[in-house]
Amino acid sequence: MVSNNTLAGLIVVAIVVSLASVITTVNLASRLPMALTGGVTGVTQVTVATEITISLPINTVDFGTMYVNDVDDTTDGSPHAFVIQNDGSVKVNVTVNATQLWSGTGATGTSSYYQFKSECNETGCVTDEATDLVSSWTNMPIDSAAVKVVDRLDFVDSKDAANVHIKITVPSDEPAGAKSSTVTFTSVAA
Amino acid sequence: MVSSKVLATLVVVLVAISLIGAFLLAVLPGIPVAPAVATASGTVNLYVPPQPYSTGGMVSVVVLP
Repeated sequence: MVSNNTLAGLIVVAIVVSLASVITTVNLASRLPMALTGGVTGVTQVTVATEITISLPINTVDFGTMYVNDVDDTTDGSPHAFVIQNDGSVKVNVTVNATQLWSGTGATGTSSYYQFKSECNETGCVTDEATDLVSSWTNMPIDSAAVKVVDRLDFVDSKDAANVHIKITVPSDEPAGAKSSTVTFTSVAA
Repeated sequence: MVSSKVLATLVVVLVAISLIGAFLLAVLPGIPVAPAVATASGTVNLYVPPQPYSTGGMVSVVVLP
């Protein structure tokens, strides 16, 4: 049989724990940008949360008409490269992969027939251009794991955009018709 | 020895505090959690026209004197 003293002790412990929980909850509430009671205060606190958002101001690369064995890329501005922009509040690492573009022999998967590289669209877009960009043509991953295209892309508006160049070579036995590939850029906090 | 009346009072206090805590939890908005990953998609397009196709042969003629 549990005595009243023991019960009282347990209840007091429970009360202490409950009070601690309530105090913690109220403290948490006070940090949020809202008022629970309508009390008047002269200070407004705003917390800028970490936000990871990217966009593609130029999201289509159209090479127009090309014949078999033709080679073209975007480094001459025609067509323009993808422009990827960091719209968030932290630097991000960006990776890329794409769906299949070609059906010709040797070009259906990841191959030199479809390549990319990156450069700053705005000066100082990354922390270190030598290591954060992909400066040489790299085979585009086709329906496989994404690979690095830009690391530590800045979020400051004056330097938050990078170009992703595309280079394609039409396979010698590519069937005639319209060709299209969806390129997906994925970003995570750097 | 603690009386049953004191025990009952303590229990009522405990229940009241728990109810207040539950109420606060219910009215507080969830802490916003930003997505850890963002994606954007673009397209690469082109058109490969049918190839002009040609081949050649040779016609030979020998004119006898």
